[in-house]
Amino acid sequence: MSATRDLAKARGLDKLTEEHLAQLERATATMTRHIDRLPKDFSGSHEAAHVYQAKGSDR
Amino acid sequence: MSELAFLTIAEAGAQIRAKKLSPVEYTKALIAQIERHEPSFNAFIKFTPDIALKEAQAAEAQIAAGRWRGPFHGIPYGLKDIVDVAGLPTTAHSKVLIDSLARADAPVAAKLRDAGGVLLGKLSTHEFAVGGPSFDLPWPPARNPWNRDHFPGGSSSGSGAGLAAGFFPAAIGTDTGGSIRNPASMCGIAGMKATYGRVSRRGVFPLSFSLDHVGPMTRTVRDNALMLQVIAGHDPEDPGSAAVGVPDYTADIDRGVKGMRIGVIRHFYTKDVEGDPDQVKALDDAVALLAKQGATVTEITLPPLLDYTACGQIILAAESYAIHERWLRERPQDYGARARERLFGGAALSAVHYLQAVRWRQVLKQQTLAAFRDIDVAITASSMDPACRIDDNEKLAANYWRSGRMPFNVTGQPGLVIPAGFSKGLPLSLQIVGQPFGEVACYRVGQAYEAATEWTKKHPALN
Repeated sequence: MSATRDLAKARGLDKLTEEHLAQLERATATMTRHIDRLPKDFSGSHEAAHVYQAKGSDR
Repeated sequence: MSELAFLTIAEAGAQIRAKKLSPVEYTKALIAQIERHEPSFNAFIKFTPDIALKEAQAAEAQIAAGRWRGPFHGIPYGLKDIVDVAGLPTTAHSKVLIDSLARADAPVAAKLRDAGGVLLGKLSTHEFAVGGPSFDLPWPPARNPWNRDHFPGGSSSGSGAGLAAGFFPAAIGTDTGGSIRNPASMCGIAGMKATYGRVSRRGVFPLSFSLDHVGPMTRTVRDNALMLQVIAGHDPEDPGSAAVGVPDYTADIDRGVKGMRIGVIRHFYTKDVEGDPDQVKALDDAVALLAKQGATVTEITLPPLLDYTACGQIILAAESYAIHERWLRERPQDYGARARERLFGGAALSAVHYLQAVRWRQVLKQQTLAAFRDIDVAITASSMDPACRIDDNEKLAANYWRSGRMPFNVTGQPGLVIPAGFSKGLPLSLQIVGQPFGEVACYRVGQAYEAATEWTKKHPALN
């Protein structure tokens, strides 16, 4: 839970109850499972899906 | 039960045009249906019978004067309560916005109004389209008309429940990770998440900018096409809006599937996730039926379902946290527990996580479109199970991840969900996925299947 408290503090989440902190902990665990699935082998040429353009469309 | 309660848009619209059905009498019949059954199903946040009757009277007068506007003239509908209507609250089913008041119509609401539609009210949703079903909010959650002890799906829960209960023939929902298609599956109705950018998102409270879709929910495929016809189109003030022409969505709808190429993404519901046996059988039977009708069917392989889930959920978490960050800091207690926990996920992410997911999204999109290269549409699961009990938190949590919907929010392709049978009295469904802007093909396949099976003619008893 102390990592969760540190995360809450870092994110400015100063008004969380113990119940809220437990939720934040569970949400973090869920998100970590998704993060662990991110590919680790992108090359520099792998562009993001949305690329800013200065003129015309922003996409 | 009123015989008018389960008219389709096509049926009612034709009768209204021929002046055989009065928009006022039709609206009054639906108001009576709502007043009788709404306490059981909680489809509405704000029921607006006064507005409805006024608009119905205006529609009747216009049609009598020869000023018929089209198939939606005089048709009652509901709007998910994240869609702005000038002068009405947009609560997002949340205490956070309980005192809000919209100053202008969202374009989707304006288009339905301009088409002569009759607004019955604002509909229940999961809180901010992300957290539900929730019993700790100012309004109760919607319930499933097929069995009110069961979940109606979400987040467009009131839209799905109201359609199934015969409250209206048309509703607007939104879909960020499946929220039109989930209630379509659970409530046995038709829901279309069209191509990203097909329908304006302006004036609709966002959950995730690059994943949000606004779309039609109806009881039949033809109705869905008629409704998309009204709401589709470019909005230059929506940065995600597509400047792509709008075809006639009903032009090919009765052509049948002979000669069409259908891909089946079977691994989504048999290997990546093991679907409920009744749901898997329904999908296999549907594919066999379409093959018998003359479609060429092949099994296709996409990246693993869980890859799309991870990619989509990271993007959704980051974008939604950006929207809710201030309120989560200032008033976390004003959220329901489910929405708060789901929104907290974004706090765990770094900017690099988000960017990596967005790079991954491009790869997944390319791989998906490559798999779609030689087909017209694909068929796969929407939900893997029929609706669980609304109070079964364990099943609700487990089933949240058991779906074939998120891939097509990640890629932006259209996904149409329609009924595909029943399991122990609860609806089963299938999902038809098209090429980008390929809604016409989705409707053509959906209509062929619907005409052959007639699932959409069954309605709940509403006891």
